[in-house]
Order: sequence, then structure tokens, then C-alpha cells
Amino acid sequence: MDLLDRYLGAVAALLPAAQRDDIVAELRDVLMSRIEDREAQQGRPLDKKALEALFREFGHPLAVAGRYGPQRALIGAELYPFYIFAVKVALAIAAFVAVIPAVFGAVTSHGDVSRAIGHAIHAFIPSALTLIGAITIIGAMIERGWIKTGEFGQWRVSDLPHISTKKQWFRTTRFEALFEVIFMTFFALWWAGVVDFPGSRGPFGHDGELQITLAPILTQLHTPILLLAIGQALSGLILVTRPAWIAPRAVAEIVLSIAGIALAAVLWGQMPLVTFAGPGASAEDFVTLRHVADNIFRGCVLVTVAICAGKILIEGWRLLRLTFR
Amino acid sequence: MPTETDIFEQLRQELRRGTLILAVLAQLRVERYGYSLRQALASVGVEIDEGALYPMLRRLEGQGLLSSEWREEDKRKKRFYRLSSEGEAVLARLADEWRAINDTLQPLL
Repeated sequence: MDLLDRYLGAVAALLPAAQRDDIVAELRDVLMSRIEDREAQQGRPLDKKALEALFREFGHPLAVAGRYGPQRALIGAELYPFYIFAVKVALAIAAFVAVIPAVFGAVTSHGDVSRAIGHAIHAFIPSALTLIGAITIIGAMIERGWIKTGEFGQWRVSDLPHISTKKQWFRTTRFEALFEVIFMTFFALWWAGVVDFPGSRGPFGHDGELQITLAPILTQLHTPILLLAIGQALSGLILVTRPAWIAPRAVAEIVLSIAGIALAAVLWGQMPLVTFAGPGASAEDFVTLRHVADNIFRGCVLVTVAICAGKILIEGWRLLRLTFR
Repeated sequence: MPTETDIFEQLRQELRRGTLILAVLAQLRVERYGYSLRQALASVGVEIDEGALYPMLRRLEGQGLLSSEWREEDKRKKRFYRLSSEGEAVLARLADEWRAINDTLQPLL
């Protein structure tokens, strides 16, 4: 009975300690009965090969012990759709976090695309696996009731997005809002120095090359820019998690747009935002380059102001409609 | 892509899952140990995998529907299961439910 003991020993090692002896005793009786039946059928004792076949038929020790576990599924059927949604969002975040530095790297390293793709893949795989692992652990803990979901399960239909049969102009979808949340969170983390990617903080240009210096105003405005990014991420989060909260989202967008215009006004008065230096070029060349850069920045600031003004009008109109509905 | 046979097999398993508990509870009106229970079920045409039967017996016992005791028979210790009084009440209700489902579905099929 060496094989039987070995088989039961392997099963026992995987069983909960409190029930181990009891379950093993019962399994021993079941297997002994099965062996006796088989021997009676064949009219002779079972040889090693036949015993092996019988145990294999009964199941792998891991599977047999697993059936006695209190729970069979890591993530249950009810939780699974939420789990898959979280995994998709995590993959989007991982892709975003991997691609943006790679694009930046490609631009700052004279357009080495193959290297940038390599960096993106190299960054994507570990972050994606880490995020999926973390989500799976959290999901398994929720499944087992170790993490209480509290009010999350108490969702209301009135929290879902409004459906309109009319064509809705300037409507931000939840996907766009999710993109906004990811982008702004990533930017805020980078701006705060929490995350980094090579070459993103300068010095821009090596000795003997063109060097770019950022204006001191960008350092002075560090905190307002950070707060603006956090605010924009939170505003996007409102639309992602509570799409029916039209008024809070509109107020947030108006406040952020006003802050955006104020910031643009300060930056406009502090041009140039970048200065250039380097050997091998005349002062006239630098002046020309600076003018080009200034015009690009002015264009960006004007576009930002136009977007902010547009948001104030659109969200203001939404608020008015809600108030006088 | 699952074949029609795979789909049928999956649906058949789903259909059988609940009825197996009913069959096990009904067979345990009489005291039996696991192996003899499986044979009794097989003799009336209900095949059940041992891997599923024993954990099911423990779960039903944990729910208070079965009671069990270890006794020696044929020079071996065996665990005998029997329907508890609570189990009898639940079985009666489940049997009513089964008959009602059967009556409802019969004209449809």
C-alpha cells in the first residue's frame, strides 16, 4: 500500500489542517473500496501499473484536495466583469505610461524609433503585469470578503449617464474623461517628480550642441500648475465615476478654465519661456530661433485660452439649463 | 470554438448540478457511507463523480442537512451519513419545488 500512502500523503499536505485527518480517513476508505472492487472484477490483486491507473483516474492530489476548499473561484462570476474592466483600464494606463516616455525619448534622441519601440515594450510588460497582479490580488480579497466594497454595490440608476435622443455637441464621453484622468495623473506625477523618464528634465542638449533653458517662471509656477493638473484629473474622475453629476463637473470645469486662463496670462507676460545657447551659431540665429519658439508658445497659449473660454461658455450653458429646467 | 457536443455537455452539467443534491439527499433517508451511496445512486441511473460527491457530502453536513458518524464495518472504519431532521425538512421543500418545476416545464417541452 505504499502507493496509496504516498497518494494520500500528497493530498493531506494540501488539505486544511483542521479537517485533514478526517478527510484522509474517508478518502482511504473510498480508495480501498475501489481497489477491492477492481480486484474482485479482475480476480487477482492489482499490480503497480493498475494502481497507478486507478489513482490517476481518481484525480491529481492538487485537484482532489482543491475540491474540499471552501472556495473554488479566485474571481467569482459576479465580480468578473468588474475585474475585466479594471484590467482593461490598467492595460490602457500601462500602455500610456510606456508610450509617452518612449515618444519623448524618440524626439530627444534624434528620432531613433526602433529604440523607442523597444523602450515602450520594455516598460509596458512589467507595469502591465504588476498592475494585473495587484488587481487580481485585490479582486480575490474582495471575493473572499476580506475587503468590504461598502456602498460600491449600492449603485443607483440615477448615477448612470443621461441618454439624449438629440445630437449632443461638445459632449465628453466617459472614455475621453478616462483618458483625461490618466493623462493628467501621469503629468501631475511627473511634474511633482514622483515619476520620471530619461531626458525629460534636461539639460536639453549636451556640451557642444544647442542647449535649451526653461524660464524661471515655470519653476515659480510649479505648485499652481500641479494643482491645475490634479484638479483636471479630479474633474475627469467625476465624469468617469459619477456621469450624472453634471453640475459638479460643470463647476469644476469652469473653475479650472478660469485658472487656466489666469495661468496663460501670467505665462504670456513672461515670454520667452525658453532660451537657447550653444557654440557654432551667431546671435542672430538664436534670436530667429527664439522668435520661432516664442510664436509656437504664444500659439499654444492662445489655443489654451480659447479652449478654456469655450469650456466656460459650454459648461456655463449646461449649468444655466440645469438651473432653469 | 466549442462544438455542439461541448455546448450540450456544458448545459447538461449545469442542469444536473442541482438535481444531484436532490438525489443525494433523497438517498440518505437511509444511512449510507460514501461508497455505498455512490453505488446506490448508480443503481438508479444517477452517475456521480467521487471527486464531486465527497466534498458535497461535507458541505451538506456543514450546512446541517446531514449528520455523520465513524463506525467500523467489514474490518474498516467508514463514515456513515444520514439525513438530519433539518435535512428532511429541506428535502421535502426541494422535492415540492422539483415537482412544481417539472409540472411547469412539462407542457413546454
